[in-house]
Amino acid sequence: MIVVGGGINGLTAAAYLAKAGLSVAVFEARGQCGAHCDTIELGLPGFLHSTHAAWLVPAMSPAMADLELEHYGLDLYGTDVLFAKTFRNGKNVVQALDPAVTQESLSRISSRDAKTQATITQYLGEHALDALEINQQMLFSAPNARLLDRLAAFQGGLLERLGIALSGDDLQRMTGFEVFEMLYESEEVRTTPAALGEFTGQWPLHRRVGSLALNLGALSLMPVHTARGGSHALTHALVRCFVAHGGDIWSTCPVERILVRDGRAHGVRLSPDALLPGEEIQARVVISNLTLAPTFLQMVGEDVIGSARARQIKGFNYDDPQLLGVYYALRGDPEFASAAYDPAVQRSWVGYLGGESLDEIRSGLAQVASGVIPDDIMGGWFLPTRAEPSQAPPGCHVGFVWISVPPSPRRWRGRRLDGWDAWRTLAEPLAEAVTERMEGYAPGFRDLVLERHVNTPMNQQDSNPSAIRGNMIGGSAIPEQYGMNRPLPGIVVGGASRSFLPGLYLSNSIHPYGATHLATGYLAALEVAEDLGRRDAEWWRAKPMMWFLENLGRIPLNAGVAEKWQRKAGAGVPR
Amino acid sequence: MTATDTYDAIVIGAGPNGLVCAAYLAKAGKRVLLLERRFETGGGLNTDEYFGYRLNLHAIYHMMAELMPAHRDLGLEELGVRYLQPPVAAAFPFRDGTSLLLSRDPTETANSIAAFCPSDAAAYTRMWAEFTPILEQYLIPMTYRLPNPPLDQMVEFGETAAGRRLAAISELSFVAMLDEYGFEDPRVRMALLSLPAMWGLHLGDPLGYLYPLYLCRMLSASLVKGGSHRLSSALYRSLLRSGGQVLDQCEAARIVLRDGAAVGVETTDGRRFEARAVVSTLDPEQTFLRLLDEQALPGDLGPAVRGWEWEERTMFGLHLGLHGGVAWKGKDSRIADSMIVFCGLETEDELLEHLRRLDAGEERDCAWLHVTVPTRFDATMAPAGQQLLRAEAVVRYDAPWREQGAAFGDSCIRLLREYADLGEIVFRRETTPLDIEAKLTTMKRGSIKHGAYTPLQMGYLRPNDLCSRSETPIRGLFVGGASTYPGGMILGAPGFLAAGVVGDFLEAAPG
Repeated sequence: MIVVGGGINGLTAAAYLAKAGLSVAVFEARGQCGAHCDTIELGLPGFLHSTHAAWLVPAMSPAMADLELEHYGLDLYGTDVLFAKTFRNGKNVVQALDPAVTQESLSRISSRDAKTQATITQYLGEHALDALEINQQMLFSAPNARLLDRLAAFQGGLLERLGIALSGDDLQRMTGFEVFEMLYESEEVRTTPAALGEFTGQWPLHRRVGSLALNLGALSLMPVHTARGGSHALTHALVRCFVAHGGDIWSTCPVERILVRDGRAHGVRLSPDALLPGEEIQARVVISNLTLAPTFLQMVGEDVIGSARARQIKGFNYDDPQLLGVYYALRGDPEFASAAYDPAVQRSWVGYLGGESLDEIRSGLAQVASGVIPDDIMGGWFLPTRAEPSQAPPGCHVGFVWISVPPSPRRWRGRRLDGWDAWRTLAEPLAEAVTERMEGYAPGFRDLVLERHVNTPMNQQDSNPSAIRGNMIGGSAIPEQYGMNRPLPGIVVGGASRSFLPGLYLSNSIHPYGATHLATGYLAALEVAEDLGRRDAEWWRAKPMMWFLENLGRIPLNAGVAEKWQRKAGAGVPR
Repeated sequence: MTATDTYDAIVIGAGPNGLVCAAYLAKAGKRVLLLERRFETGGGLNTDEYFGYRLNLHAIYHMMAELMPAHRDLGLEELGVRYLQPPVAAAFPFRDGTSLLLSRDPTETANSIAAFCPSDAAAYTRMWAEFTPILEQYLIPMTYRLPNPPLDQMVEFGETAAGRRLAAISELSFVAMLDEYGFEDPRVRMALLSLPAMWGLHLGDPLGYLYPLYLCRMLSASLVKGGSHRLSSALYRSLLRSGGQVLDQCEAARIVLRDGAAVGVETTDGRRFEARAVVSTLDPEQTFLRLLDEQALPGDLGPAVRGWEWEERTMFGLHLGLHGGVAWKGKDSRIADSMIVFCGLETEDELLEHLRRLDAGEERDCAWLHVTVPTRFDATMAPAGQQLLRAEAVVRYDAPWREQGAAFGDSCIRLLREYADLGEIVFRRETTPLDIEAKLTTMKRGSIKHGAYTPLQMGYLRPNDLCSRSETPIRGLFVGGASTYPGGMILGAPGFLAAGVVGDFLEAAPG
């Protein structure tokens, strides 16, 4: 078996199958595996920047237990506050592991919204098993209509409980913004799930994201973490597991061609620049962990797939949206102005600034969707060292801000831009604008900055050519390319990963989308193992979310939060 | 993993030597734990991936490459190590457009030298012919054998003609070595002295036995395809495959002694691991003064360790991403085929004066650079269509690098532009000596070899006569880093030697 591309999902597929007793080789173009889980000392030694995936969710993955990722060195860390939305008016809304903390935060803003959230929490609690099963299948099974029916019924019940006269099917057709406006009355509360949706790629602007939006709107438990040593620790753990089970990794080995004979993929040929230049390697199964376009247009080739299929794939959307990251080495922990309102914001390692109202987010997203960089910066901020302090020298912190941008910007603040090439000159002015914005929410931030680096969509593509125009999830997760549509109709057949070309499986660009839940790698492993009769291993039985629910109490929280901001023992809600 | 896991051996430090040592022991069936302070293993075999650029921030030229026993014993080729040998090893372009090219082929090199001075070409041929048996019979095998005390070694040298010649030149300085062979031309002498000088060695020190290595092996050196980290990555996977365990982000805090013997390691996060043998690949100060209590050190060891000398000279690194590449101004197109291009100093006097000024703190701007363009030999080192240039300057540690780093980088670029037309600079990164020691704590004061190469810290005396054969006066404690015989420079030797000694120790005292 050959896996093309040693990103985290390729490694997941490889590790499962090696552990299941198959002989597996991974060919990786870069020097090291795990492109979207890079952690790099971008400048000053000791400041570890996780330049791509940062908000890690392997805790929900069956791989966590099946592949014993903890045994192989993946130590997860978190904060008790999961997400903090900060506002210019000095308020904030927080979502926490402890529902009482979330409740308290919402009730400061609006007693009606707090009541709504309490009703949702209660409903989820009463139907916990149902919720868990749906949740488990949503990401880790091939998409299917029955599950969507079940979800519609489940969410319909919740709407009824909330006194909203809509069916679950109605909900599924709605935009995120419609859902948030329907659920909550205050702009502060409404924009919190909207912000979450914005920077987790579940755009509230899109139609047909209503059921996802309702999940976000629940503001409930999320299995989000950083890892000891940064995101690259996830790559390390997967590599260790794979190698320990006899897997081979060939890095610096770009694949040039997926070999096809008699209508079946049977191996790969490496590029002339590879460590093994031009070598051909045969296999029963090839898994491509590259995204759709390079897999079929470059490596299989239009001559094999035909012009109609090639045309379809050329239309695959990679552009909505991309991220630009500004990375900071900090001499201390920023203090948000809203800490005076609710100090819980200081216990969150992830939050959001800008996007003060649904209208602001709406117009920002509309601008991004039409090729314009929003005038007002809005984006997610991350301070991983609040959860895991070893990512910076003692007393210091690392932080970064992600903003959504169009891949080929045409305008920003009245300045005309020439599309993709604009990234060569835009990085610094945008980083400056982001820094200015951060200063507005956390006064004194600028003085903490020792060093700043920028990761533009162009940098992103440079570091990983499979990240087309910087896309991090294997193609935009827009409704046309989501769920049963993913990646595009007819590309996968009889499951999530089996491509129309026999012998070729996909672990990228497929349902659900590329992320550290490792679902695409898991699904590819599952289907390959089924097809080769290797799905019967006794160890292969973990269920999604279970590792998280069973180990929740063991994951260290707030390890890098200063003493003055720690949640006081016994106090349900700090004040 | 529980707090009281017991291993056959714990190796502290996952640099090249720690990895080699651990991988050999694991392959021999020992239960091995490798502890690393950083979030990545590899130590000086560091290739940072910076948005598509692969930056060899430390090691780049591999003098021993396939000669390293680990290459064959651990099957590193099967694990993805490929060495690249550029057609020319070292090019010295001059401002007048001429250039001197040194390669691994002595005839080619002699031809290039002949254009400057025919008698020097003859001297070079004679010198190379004498060095070849010295290397093959002595210096290369000795690199991978435990050192003997100087008197025993002299007896051994007396047994053959090559050995006697080695004994005769072994205490010459590098400058005197060139006199010995009768080199005359100031440019040729500059070039031949640059090979040891680029590593911060002092040209007047009596380290003549190193010269055949620094000449012949540097001219036979290789780059690692995909970056130096590929070598450490292969060692790492060899270790994992043999069942070895690696804990990164895990810093040793204390070597645990029981009845005067090393029996385990405590880490800064409060974990404790027990083992029958502990191998430190850290520098002597960390091993004996930080991880142990000085009072616990037997007799002479404390003073020996406190006398450890760091290097006076260190490195400044400049990495440039270029659109449009590098066009050398020298007339000979083969300059671009050279693994290293030296720029700035053109005669022996200029080199010696530069080093004098450097040590005296009188050099402010960059006057001398050695440059490599990795993308010339390996397209994978930069994003498609871009070139990567790596330049290093020998500098002194004691300078206000935080404030001066960028200005010094500017002066490097000015110097480069005297010798080459550079494309548009789209990426730039400097690494100062402060960055070196912050990244790798064994390289204190930017000392890339974990301590100076002085006559009193080399051979049987590295790190001192109590510890140079991998053992220490403390039972169960072994040393195997670059501060141990025969030294750093990615020879893969100290770790290999330590593995042998530790293996014997474990066999002799089955646990």
